[in-house]
Amino acid sequence: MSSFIYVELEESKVSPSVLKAFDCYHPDFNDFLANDALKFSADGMGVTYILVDEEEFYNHNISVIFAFATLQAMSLYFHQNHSPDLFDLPCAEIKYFAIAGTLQKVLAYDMGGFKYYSTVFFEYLLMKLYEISTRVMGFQAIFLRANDNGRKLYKRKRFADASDYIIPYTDDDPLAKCTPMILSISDHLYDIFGI
Amino acid sequence: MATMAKPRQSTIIKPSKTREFFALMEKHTATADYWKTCSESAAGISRNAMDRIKKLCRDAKDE
Repeated sequence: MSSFIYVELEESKVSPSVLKAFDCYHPDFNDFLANDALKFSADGMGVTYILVDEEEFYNHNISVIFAFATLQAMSLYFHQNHSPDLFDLPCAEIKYFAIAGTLQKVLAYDMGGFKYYSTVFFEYLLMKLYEISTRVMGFQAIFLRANDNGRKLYKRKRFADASDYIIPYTDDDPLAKCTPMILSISDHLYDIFGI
Repeated sequence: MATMAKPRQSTIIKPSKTREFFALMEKHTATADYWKTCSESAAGISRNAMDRIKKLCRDAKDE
């Protein structure tokens, strides 16, 4: 049996040619992966994981990248009981998530055919995040800003539209085209935050 | 301790909406069934299937 695996970009030792060959049909995302992701990680701005054939990774001969995701620790802040103080909700932010263009809007027939590859690869990422939150560094929610391409997928995976709750800030999203979305991974939020 | 810089505006929940926001989060929580569904995707696939998916990616690059 074969398996996909998300592996940290530097640890992957993937060749520059394979990195450059990844095409999600979004030039900015392609450019980020090929040229900026490693420095982004070194600066603590976000760690990039690429989705590859697990066997190729362990054999040090990755030939194809199926998807990538860039994760960063962050917090959402809230007021409580009319206090001017801010309290924080630790989150992991998915700054980028992209899958290979040829697999977009394609049903994963080789994996049962009931889900799109985008759903399958995103579920792999969610499992990775679950592992990180329980074994590496705790957080209570997963946050992202969805563009038009991703919104339906995230809604399918139960992310809530948080547009009505978050103060918009144009520097983060000058065209106001991204939707802030959030999924709680803790079912004890009320207990933890005393809301 | 040094004074912490104020958080980015776009990471602050609107002050009047805190309770409502947490109520929203409660409705959008990953449950045990949720993780079970995700883990089913992580089950292995045949080597032939993996090679077909790789070919899908490579064929586009070769065009």
